[in-house]
Amino acid sequence: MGQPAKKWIAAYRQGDIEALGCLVEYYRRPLFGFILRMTTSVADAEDIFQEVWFRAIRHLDSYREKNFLSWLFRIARNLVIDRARHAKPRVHLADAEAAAEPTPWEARIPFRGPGPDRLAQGHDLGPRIAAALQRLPPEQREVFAMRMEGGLPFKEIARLQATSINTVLARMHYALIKLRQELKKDYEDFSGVRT
Amino acid sequence: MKCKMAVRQLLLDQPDEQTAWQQRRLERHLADCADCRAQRAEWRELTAAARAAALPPLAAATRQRIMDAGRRALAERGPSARFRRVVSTWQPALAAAAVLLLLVGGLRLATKSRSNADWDDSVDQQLEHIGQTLAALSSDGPGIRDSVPDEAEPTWDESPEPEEQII
Repeated sequence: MGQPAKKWIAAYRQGDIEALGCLVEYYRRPLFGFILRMTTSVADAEDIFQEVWFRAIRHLDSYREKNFLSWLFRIARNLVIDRARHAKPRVHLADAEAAAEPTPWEARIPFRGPGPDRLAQGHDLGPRIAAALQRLPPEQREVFAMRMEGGLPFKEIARLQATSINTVLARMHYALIKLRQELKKDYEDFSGVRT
Repeated sequence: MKCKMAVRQLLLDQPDEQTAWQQRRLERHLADCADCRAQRAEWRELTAAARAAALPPLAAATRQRIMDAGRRALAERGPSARFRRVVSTWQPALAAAAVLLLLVGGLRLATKSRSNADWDDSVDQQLEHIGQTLAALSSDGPGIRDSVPDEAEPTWDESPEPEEQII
Protein backbone atom coordinates (compact mmCIF):
# COMPACT_ATOMS: atom_id res chain seq x y z
CA MET A 1 0.00 0.00 0.00
CA GLY A 2 1.32 3.42 -0.92
CA GLN A 3 2.26 5.91 1.74
CA PRO A 4 -0.45 8.44 0.77
CA ALA A 5 -3.11 5.73 0.93
CA LYS A 6 -1.98 4.75 4.41
CA LYS A 7 -2.10 8.37 5.46
CA TRP A 8 -5.59 8.85 4.01
CA ILE A 9 -6.92 5.73 5.69
CA ALA A 10 -5.59 6.94 9.02
CA ALA A 11 -7.01 10.43 8.41
CA TYR A 12 -10.43 9.05 7.53
CA ARG A 13 -10.41 6.90 10.64
CA GLN A 14 -9.78 10.08 12.58
CA GLY A 15 -12.85 11.65 10.98
CA ASP A 16 -11.49 13.46 7.91
CA ILE A 17 -14.08 12.90 5.16
CA GLU A 18 -11.87 14.53 2.51
CA ALA A 19 -9.36 11.73 3.01
CA LEU A 20 -12.02 9.28 1.83
CA GLY A 21 -12.45 11.31 -1.35
CA CYS A 22 -8.71 11.12 -1.95
CA LEU A 23 -8.76 7.36 -1.42
CA VAL A 24 -11.64 6.85 -3.86
CA GLU A 25 -9.84 8.90 -6.49
CA TYR A 26 -6.49 7.25 -5.87
CA TYR A 27 -7.92 3.75 -6.38
CA ARG A 28 -10.47 4.66 -9.02
CA ARG A 29 -8.42 3.66 -12.05
CA PRO A 30 -7.28 0.19 -10.90
CA LEU A 31 -10.49 -0.74 -9.13
CA PHE A 32 -12.96 0.61 -11.66
CA GLY A 33 -10.82 -0.74 -14.49
CA PHE A 34 -10.80 -4.20 -12.97
CA ILE A 35 -14.56 -4.17 -12.41
CA LEU A 36 -15.16 -2.93 -15.95
CA ARG A 37 -13.10 -5.81 -17.33
CA MET A 38 -15.13 -8.27 -15.32
CA THR A 39 -18.57 -6.88 -16.18
CA THR A 40 -20.23 -5.85 -19.39
CA SER A 41 -21.81 -2.50 -18.64
CA VAL A 42 -20.69 0.74 -17.09
CA ALA A 43 -23.85 0.81 -14.97
CA ASP A 44 -23.04 -2.58 -13.45
CA ALA A 45 -19.44 -1.56 -12.95
CA GLU A 46 -20.51 1.63 -11.18
CA ASP A 47 -22.93 -0.29 -8.96
CA ILE A 48 -20.22 -2.72 -7.96
CA PHE A 49 -17.64 0.03 -7.53
CA GLN A 50 -20.01 1.85 -5.20
CA GLU A 51 -20.82 -1.31 -3.25
CA VAL A 52 -17.11 -2.09 -2.86
CA TRP A 53 -16.63 1.27 -1.18
CA PHE A 54 -19.73 0.87 0.99
CA ARG A 55 -18.34 -2.39 2.28
CA ALA A 56 -14.84 -1.02 2.63
CA ILE A 57 -16.15 1.93 4.68
CA ARG A 58 -18.15 -0.42 6.90
CA HIS A 59 -15.17 -2.64 7.59
CA LEU A 60 -12.38 -0.11 7.54
CA ASP A 61 -11.94 -0.36 11.30
CA SER A 62 -11.18 -4.04 11.07
CA TYR A 63 -8.92 -3.68 8.03
CA ARG A 64 -5.49 -5.10 8.84
CA GLU A 65 -4.02 -6.22 5.53
CA LYS A 66 -0.86 -4.82 4.00
CA ASN A 67 -2.20 -4.22 0.51
CA PHE A 68 -5.29 -2.03 0.48
CA LEU A 69 -5.84 -2.44 -3.27
CA SER A 70 -5.71 -6.19 -2.92
CA TRP A 71 -8.35 -5.94 -0.19
CA LEU A 72 -10.55 -3.81 -2.46
CA PHE A 73 -10.03 -6.29 -5.29
CA ARG A 74 -11.13 -9.14 -3.08
CA ILE A 75 -14.35 -7.34 -2.17
CA ALA A 76 -14.92 -6.47 -5.84
CA ARG A 77 -14.23 -10.02 -6.95
CA ASN A 78 -16.79 -11.41 -4.50
CA LEU A 79 -19.37 -8.88 -5.65
CA VAL A 80 -18.73 -9.63 -9.32
CA ILE A 81 -19.12 -13.35 -8.71
CA ASP A 82 -22.29 -12.81 -6.63
CA ARG A 83 -23.79 -10.62 -9.30
CA ALA A 84 -22.87 -13.05 -12.05
CA ARG A 85 -24.59 -15.83 -10.11
CA HIS A 86 -27.74 -13.92 -9.24
CA ALA A 87 -28.23 -11.70 -12.28
CA LYS A 88 -26.79 -13.58 -15.18
CA PRO A 89 -28.75 -11.71 -17.81
CA ARG A 90 -27.15 -8.44 -16.71
CA VAL A 91 -23.58 -9.52 -15.99
CA HIS A 92 -21.80 -12.48 -17.47
CA LEU A 93 -18.30 -13.73 -17.01
CA ALA A 94 -17.80 -15.99 -19.99
CA ASP A 95 -20.41 -15.38 -22.59
CA ALA A 96 -18.62 -15.51 -25.90
CA GLU A 97 -21.66 -14.63 -27.97
CA ALA A 98 -22.38 -11.43 -26.13
CA ALA A 99 -18.85 -10.26 -26.64
CA ALA A 100 -19.00 -10.67 -30.39
CA GLU A 101 -20.24 -7.11 -30.71
CA PRO A 102 -18.90 -4.20 -28.73
CA THR A 103 -20.78 -3.82 -25.47
CA PRO A 104 -21.76 -0.38 -24.19
CA TRP A 105 -18.81 0.04 -21.86
CA GLU A 106 -16.38 -1.11 -24.48
CA ALA A 107 -17.75 1.44 -26.86
CA ARG A 108 -17.19 4.13 -24.26
CA ILE A 109 -13.53 3.37 -23.69
CA PRO A 110 -11.38 5.77 -25.64
CA PHE A 111 -7.90 4.55 -26.42
CA ARG A 112 -4.87 6.71 -25.79
CA GLY A 113 -2.16 4.40 -27.10
CA PRO A 114 -2.08 4.72 -30.87
CA GLY A 115 -2.71 8.45 -31.10
CA PRO A 116 -5.25 10.49 -33.06
CA ASP A 117 -3.94 9.47 -36.48
CA ARG A 118 -4.44 5.79 -35.84
CA LEU A 119 -7.80 6.45 -34.19
CA ALA A 120 -8.86 8.27 -37.31
CA GLN A 121 -7.79 5.27 -39.36
CA GLY A 122 -9.87 2.92 -37.27
CA HIS A 123 -6.91 1.21 -35.60
CA ASP A 124 -8.21 1.73 -32.07
CA LEU A 125 -6.94 -1.30 -30.19
CA GLY A 126 -8.38 -0.51 -26.73
CA PRO A 127 -12.00 -1.50 -27.37
CA ARG A 128 -10.83 -4.51 -29.34
CA ILE A 129 -8.73 -5.68 -26.43
CA ALA A 130 -11.73 -5.18 -24.18
CA ALA A 131 -13.92 -7.19 -26.55
CA ALA A 132 -11.33 -9.92 -26.89
CA LEU A 133 -11.02 -10.06 -23.11
CA GLN A 134 -14.71 -10.87 -22.85
CA ARG A 135 -14.07 -14.06 -24.79
CA LEU A 136 -11.47 -15.28 -22.31
CA PRO A 137 -12.39 -17.70 -19.53
CA PRO A 138 -13.16 -15.67 -16.38
CA GLU A 139 -10.14 -16.93 -14.43
CA GLN A 140 -7.76 -15.85 -17.16
CA ARG A 141 -9.54 -12.54 -17.63
CA GLU A 142 -9.39 -11.93 -13.91
CA VAL A 143 -5.64 -12.52 -13.75
CA PHE A 144 -5.11 -10.27 -16.76
CA ALA A 145 -7.29 -7.49 -15.31
CA MET A 146 -5.73 -7.62 -11.86
CA ARG A 147 -2.28 -7.48 -13.35
CA MET A 148 -2.96 -4.87 -16.01
CA GLU A 149 -5.24 -2.57 -14.05
CA GLY A 150 -4.03 -3.02 -10.51
CA GLY A 151 -0.46 -4.09 -11.12
CA LEU A 152 -0.87 -6.69 -8.40
CA PRO A 153 2.02 -9.08 -7.89
CA PHE A 154 1.29 -12.61 -9.11
CA LYS A 155 1.74 -13.87 -5.58
CA GLU A 156 -1.10 -11.63 -4.44
CA ILE A 157 -3.32 -12.67 -7.35
CA ALA A 158 -2.66 -16.31 -6.46
CA ARG A 159 -3.78 -15.57 -2.91
CA LEU A 160 -6.98 -13.90 -4.12
CA GLN A 161 -7.78 -16.76 -6.48
CA ALA A 162 -6.82 -19.31 -3.81
CA THR A 163 -4.48 -21.10 -6.15
CA SER A 164 -0.76 -21.53 -6.77
CA ILE A 165 1.44 -18.91 -8.38
CA ASN A 166 2.26 -21.35 -11.18
CA THR A 167 -1.43 -21.67 -12.03
CA VAL A 168 -1.75 -17.90 -12.08
CA LEU A 169 1.29 -17.56 -14.34
CA ALA A 170 -0.15 -20.19 -16.66
CA ARG A 171 -3.49 -18.33 -16.77
CA MET A 172 -1.72 -15.09 -17.66
CA HIS A 173 0.33 -16.87 -20.27
CA TYR A 174 -2.77 -18.40 -21.92
CA ALA A 175 -4.61 -15.09 -21.71
CA LEU A 176 -1.82 -13.32 -23.58
CA ILE A 177 -1.60 -16.05 -26.21
CA LYS A 178 -5.36 -15.98 -26.81
CA LEU A 179 -5.45 -12.18 -26.92
CA ARG A 180 -2.60 -12.24 -29.37
CA GLN A 181 -4.50 -14.67 -31.58
CA GLU A 182 -7.75 -12.71 -31.30
CA LEU A 183 -6.07 -9.43 -32.06
CA LYS A 184 -3.64 -10.72 -34.61
CA LYS A 185 -4.68 -8.42 -37.41
CA ASP A 186 -5.45 -5.39 -35.22
CA TYR A 187 -2.28 -5.89 -33.28
CA GLU A 188 -0.14 -6.00 -36.41
CA ASP A 189 -1.78 -2.87 -37.72
CA PHE A 190 -1.29 -1.20 -34.35
CA SER A 191 2.31 -2.18 -33.84
CA GLY A 192 3.27 -1.81 -37.45
CA VAL A 193 5.81 -4.58 -36.98
CA ARG A 194 4.33 -7.14 -39.33
CA THR A 195 1.58 -6.95 -41.87
CA MET B 1 17.11 -22.01 -19.55
CA LYS B 2 14.45 -23.47 -21.85
CA CYS B 3 12.03 -21.31 -23.84
CA LYS B 4 9.02 -22.56 -21.85
CA MET B 5 10.62 -21.39 -18.63
CA ALA B 6 11.82 -18.14 -20.18
CA VAL B 7 8.33 -17.26 -21.43
CA ARG B 8 6.96 -17.77 -17.92
CA GLN B 9 9.71 -15.60 -16.49
CA LEU B 10 8.90 -12.84 -18.96
CA LEU B 11 5.62 -12.32 -17.16
CA LEU B 12 7.38 -11.51 -13.90
CA ASP B 13 8.21 -7.97 -14.87
CA GLN B 14 7.61 -6.19 -11.59
CA PRO B 15 10.43 -5.29 -9.20
CA ASP B 16 11.12 -7.98 -6.60
CA GLU B 17 9.34 -10.67 -8.56
CA GLN B 18 12.61 -12.09 -9.80
CA THR B 19 15.93 -12.48 -8.10
CA ALA B 20 19.00 -10.92 -9.67
CA TRP B 21 20.19 -14.38 -10.57
CA GLN B 22 16.92 -15.20 -12.37
CA GLN B 23 17.07 -11.91 -14.25
CA ARG B 24 20.60 -12.59 -15.41
CA ARG B 25 19.61 -16.08 -16.58
CA LEU B 26 16.65 -14.68 -18.49
CA GLU B 27 18.72 -11.97 -20.10
CA ARG B 28 21.30 -14.55 -21.18
CA HIS B 29 18.54 -16.66 -22.72
CA LEU B 30 16.98 -13.69 -24.49
CA ALA B 31 20.33 -12.72 -25.93
CA ASP B 32 20.47 -16.10 -27.67
CA CYS B 33 16.78 -16.71 -28.46
CA ALA B 34 15.12 -14.58 -31.14
CA ASP B 35 11.69 -16.21 -30.62
CA CYS B 36 11.56 -15.29 -26.94
CA ARG B 37 12.74 -11.76 -27.73
CA ALA B 38 9.92 -11.40 -30.25
CA GLN B 39 7.46 -12.78 -27.72
CA ARG B 40 8.59 -10.25 -25.16
CA ALA B 41 8.19 -7.39 -27.63
CA GLU B 42 4.67 -8.51 -28.56
CA TRP B 43 3.56 -8.85 -24.98
CA ARG B 44 4.97 -5.50 -24.03
CA GLU B 45 3.03 -3.81 -26.79
CA LEU B 46 -0.12 -5.70 -25.98
CA THR B 47 0.02 -4.93 -22.28
CA ALA B 48 0.91 -1.30 -22.98
CA ALA B 49 -2.16 -1.02 -25.22
CA ALA B 50 -4.34 -2.63 -22.55
CA ARG B 51 -3.01 -0.32 -19.85
CA ALA B 52 -3.37 2.74 -22.02
CA ALA B 53 -7.10 2.24 -22.56
CA ALA B 54 -8.84 5.14 -20.84
CA LEU B 55 -11.74 4.52 -18.52
CA PRO B 56 -15.14 6.12 -18.72
CA PRO B 57 -15.47 8.79 -16.03
CA LEU B 58 -17.10 7.79 -12.79
CA ALA B 59 -20.59 9.25 -12.45
CA ALA B 60 -20.70 12.17 -10.02
CA ALA B 61 -23.75 10.62 -8.34
CA THR B 62 -21.83 7.42 -7.60
CA ARG B 63 -19.01 9.36 -6.07
CA GLN B 64 -21.48 11.42 -4.06
CA ARG B 65 -23.18 8.30 -2.69
CA ILE B 66 -19.82 6.92 -1.58
CA MET B 67 -18.98 10.17 0.19
CA ASP B 68 -22.42 10.24 1.85
CA ALA B 69 -21.89 6.70 3.09
CA GLY B 70 -18.52 7.77 4.44
CA ARG B 71 -20.09 10.73 6.26
CA ARG B 72 -22.82 8.53 7.73
CA ALA B 73 -20.26 6.02 8.92
CA LEU B 74 -18.28 8.75 10.63
CA ALA B 75 -21.41 10.17 12.24
CA GLU B 76 -22.45 6.76 13.53
CA ARG B 77 -19.12 6.32 15.18
CA GLY B 78 -19.82 7.30 18.74
CA PRO B 79 -17.73 6.64 21.82
CA SER B 80 -18.79 3.01 21.74
CA ALA B 81 -17.36 2.60 18.25
CA ARG B 82 -14.18 4.30 19.33
CA PHE B 83 -14.05 2.00 22.35
CA ARG B 84 -14.59 -1.01 20.08
CA ARG B 85 -11.80 0.20 17.84
CA VAL B 86 -9.45 0.60 20.79
CA VAL B 87 -10.43 -2.82 22.10
CA SER B 88 -9.98 -4.29 18.65
CA THR B 89 -6.54 -2.69 18.31
CA TRP B 90 -5.39 -3.74 21.74
CA GLN B 91 -7.23 -7.04 21.81
CA PRO B 92 -4.15 -9.29 21.97
CA ALA B 93 -2.49 -7.13 24.61
CA LEU B 94 -5.71 -6.95 26.65
CA ALA B 95 -6.19 -10.71 26.45
CA ALA B 96 -2.61 -11.29 27.58
CA ALA B 97 -3.05 -8.80 30.44
CA ALA B 98 -6.28 -10.49 31.53
CA VAL B 99 -4.64 -13.91 31.56
CA LEU B 100 -1.69 -12.53 33.49
CA LEU B 101 -4.02 -10.86 35.97
CA LEU B 102 -5.93 -14.07 36.48
CA LEU B 103 -2.71 -16.02 37.00
CA VAL B 104 -1.31 -13.51 39.47
CA GLY B 105 -4.64 -13.25 41.30
CA GLY B 106 -5.01 -17.00 41.52
CA LEU B 107 -1.46 -17.44 42.70
CA ARG B 108 -1.89 -14.78 45.35
CA LEU B 109 -5.12 -16.29 46.59
CA ALA B 110 -3.55 -19.72 46.82
CA THR B 111 -0.55 -18.34 48.73
CA LYS B 112 -2.77 -16.40 51.10
CA SER B 113 -5.01 -19.34 51.96
CA ARG B 114 -1.97 -21.48 52.70
CA SER B 115 -0.44 -18.83 55.00
CA ASN B 116 -3.81 -18.48 56.76
CA ALA B 117 -3.84 -22.17 57.41
CA ASP B 118 -0.30 -21.96 58.81
CA TRP B 119 -1.29 -19.05 61.01
CA ASP B 120 -4.30 -20.96 62.35
CA ASP B 121 -2.11 -23.92 63.22
CA SER B 122 0.44 -21.85 65.09
CA VAL B 123 -2.24 -19.99 67.05
CA ASP B 124 -3.81 -23.28 68.06
CA GLN B 125 -0.46 -24.58 69.16
CA GLN B 126 0.25 -21.49 71.20
CA LEU B 127 -3.16 -21.51 72.83
CA GLU B 128 -2.72 -25.15 73.68
CA HIS B 129 0.70 -24.43 75.14
CA ILE B 130 -0.66 -21.58 77.26
CA GLY B 131 -3.46 -23.79 78.46
CA GLN B 132 -1.03 -26.49 79.48
CA THR B 133 1.17 -24.01 81.30
CA LEU B 134 -1.78 -22.61 83.20
CA ALA B 135 -2.94 -26.04 84.17
CA ALA B 136 0.51 -26.96 85.42
CA LEU B 137 0.79 -23.81 87.45
CA SER B 138 -2.57 -24.23 89.12
CA SER B 139 -1.91 -27.84 90.18
CA ASP B 140 1.77 -27.72 91.39
CA GLY B 141 2.87 -24.49 93.06
CA PRO B 142 1.21 -21.76 94.96
CA GLY B 143 0.11 -20.33 91.85
CA ILE B 144 -0.13 -16.85 90.81
CA ARG B 145 -3.42 -16.30 92.46
CA ASP B 146 -2.18 -17.59 95.86
CA SER B 147 0.79 -15.27 95.91
CA VAL B 148 -1.34 -12.18 95.63
CA PRO B 149 -2.50 -10.97 99.01
CA ASP B 150 -6.19 -10.53 99.46
CA GLU B 151 -7.07 -7.06 100.41
CA ALA B 152 -9.93 -8.10 102.63
CA GLU B 153 -7.98 -10.54 104.71
CA PRO B 154 -5.92 -9.29 107.67
CA THR B 155 -2.28 -9.96 107.77
CA TRP B 156 -0.23 -11.35 110.67
CA ASP B 157 1.94 -8.37 111.00
CA GLU B 158 -0.94 -6.13 111.88
CA SER B 159 -0.65 -5.19 115.50
CA PRO B 160 -3.53 -6.37 117.63
CA GLU B 161 -5.72 -3.90 119.25
CA PRO B 162 -4.40 -3.07 122.73
CA GLU B 163 -6.34 -4.70 125.50
CA GLU B 164 -7.86 -2.51 128.10
CA GLN B 165 -5.80 -2.46 131.25
CA ILE B 166 -7.57 -2.98 134.57
CA ILE B 167 -6.07 -0.85 137.13
